[in-house]
Amino acid sequence: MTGNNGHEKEMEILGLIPGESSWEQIIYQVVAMNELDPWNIDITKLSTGFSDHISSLDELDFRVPAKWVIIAAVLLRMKSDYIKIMKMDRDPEPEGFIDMEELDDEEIESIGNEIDENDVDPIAVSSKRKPIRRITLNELVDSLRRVLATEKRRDLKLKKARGKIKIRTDDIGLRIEKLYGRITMMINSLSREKSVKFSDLVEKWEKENVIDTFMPLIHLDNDNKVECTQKEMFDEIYIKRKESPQIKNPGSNN
Amino acid sequence: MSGQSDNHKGLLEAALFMSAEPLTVEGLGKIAGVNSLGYVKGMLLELRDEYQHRGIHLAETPQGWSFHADHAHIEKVAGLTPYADITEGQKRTLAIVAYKEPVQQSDVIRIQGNKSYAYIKTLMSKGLIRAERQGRSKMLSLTTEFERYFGGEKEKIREDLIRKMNSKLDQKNYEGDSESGKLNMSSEDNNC
Repeated sequence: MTGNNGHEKEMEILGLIPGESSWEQIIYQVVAMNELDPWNIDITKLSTGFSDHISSLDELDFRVPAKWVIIAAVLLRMKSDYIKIMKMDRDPEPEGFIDMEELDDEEIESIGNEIDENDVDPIAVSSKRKPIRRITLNELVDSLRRVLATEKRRDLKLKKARGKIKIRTDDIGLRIEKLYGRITMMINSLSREKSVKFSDLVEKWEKENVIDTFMPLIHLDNDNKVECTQKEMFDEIYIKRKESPQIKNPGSNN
Repeated sequence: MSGQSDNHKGLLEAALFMSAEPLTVEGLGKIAGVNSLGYVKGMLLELRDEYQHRGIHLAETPQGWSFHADHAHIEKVAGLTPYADITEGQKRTLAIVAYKEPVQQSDVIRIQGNKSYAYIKTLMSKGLIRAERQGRSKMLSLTTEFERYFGGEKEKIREDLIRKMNSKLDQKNYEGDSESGKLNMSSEDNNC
């Protein structure tokens, strides 16, 4: 794109990017702009302008550069789609054909200097449109079928998963009380230690037993009836009983 | 008609032919270098009339003016281009709304996931569905633009949709429902 008008239009696009418009809307606006071919925009110039804009911002919103990258990529793609690449017939090789792969760097450079840009065919924009069509009712039916099939599969999966989960029906309150009683009894039976190990509370070290004991324990900890400490992740949990202020002896120094 | 207006009309026709997306009257006015939007609209209406009995038609949509194939031919020629104006995700959202209309937005999200928010927004911008706030969610329904898009009344389109769906179920012995495997038009069936 050339001229002041082109520059102004590019600056106009630049101004749209940090705004509320989506990248699709910006592309549409680019297309709708007068004398502004999306496949003829100088993306390098636009990138430089955008970098300057980013540098001038106090706060960086990462959505803005992301939007920019998409717009630049789409414009590049549009340009690529519309460019007709010259077809080179290599079989048989035309007269004067030089295989660049057989040349060294110096020879390539000397040939490069000899090329007259007038000898190169201009890059043409195709006059054929990319045909975009409306969807058909049959396609809508296929989509509906896929949606319903996915929904049915998901429901079945969920039903199976629910079937595998065993939901306990016993009262969690009773289990909490029972565990609290055991902790109290164990601590009382100890002469010096004032804490019990979690592993001592679990009757048999199996997944279900561990969970059955751990669940009421976290309730007790949450209710401030016990204090659980663990030095490292997956290490032993030490449980201390917390004395309730109401049952504390007012005359006691402890 | 003057040579200049013929030239303008030809330019608008070429622009509409080349563009993959609908073009607004304003955008077309800029392309033609014409300030009067009424003049542009007039030429578009003339073009629309000229294409009335052809295999392609010129139509005005909420997004602008565009050419599209005649409804009578679309099924036969659709396979000639892989590019549709609605993506697969948007198509599924539209299919849910078409089948379950009126349907709560939250139900569409539950069925199709969070991506549907964007699909709903795009379908609304294309004017194919509309949303009305109802409590904490939105109620989605089809629009007259949907009817124009598929070329018929929405009740008829929905009937066709379900009939075609059931015919496919018969063919593939597909079980879409725990009872019969077939869909029906009852309101109970519509509730998610």
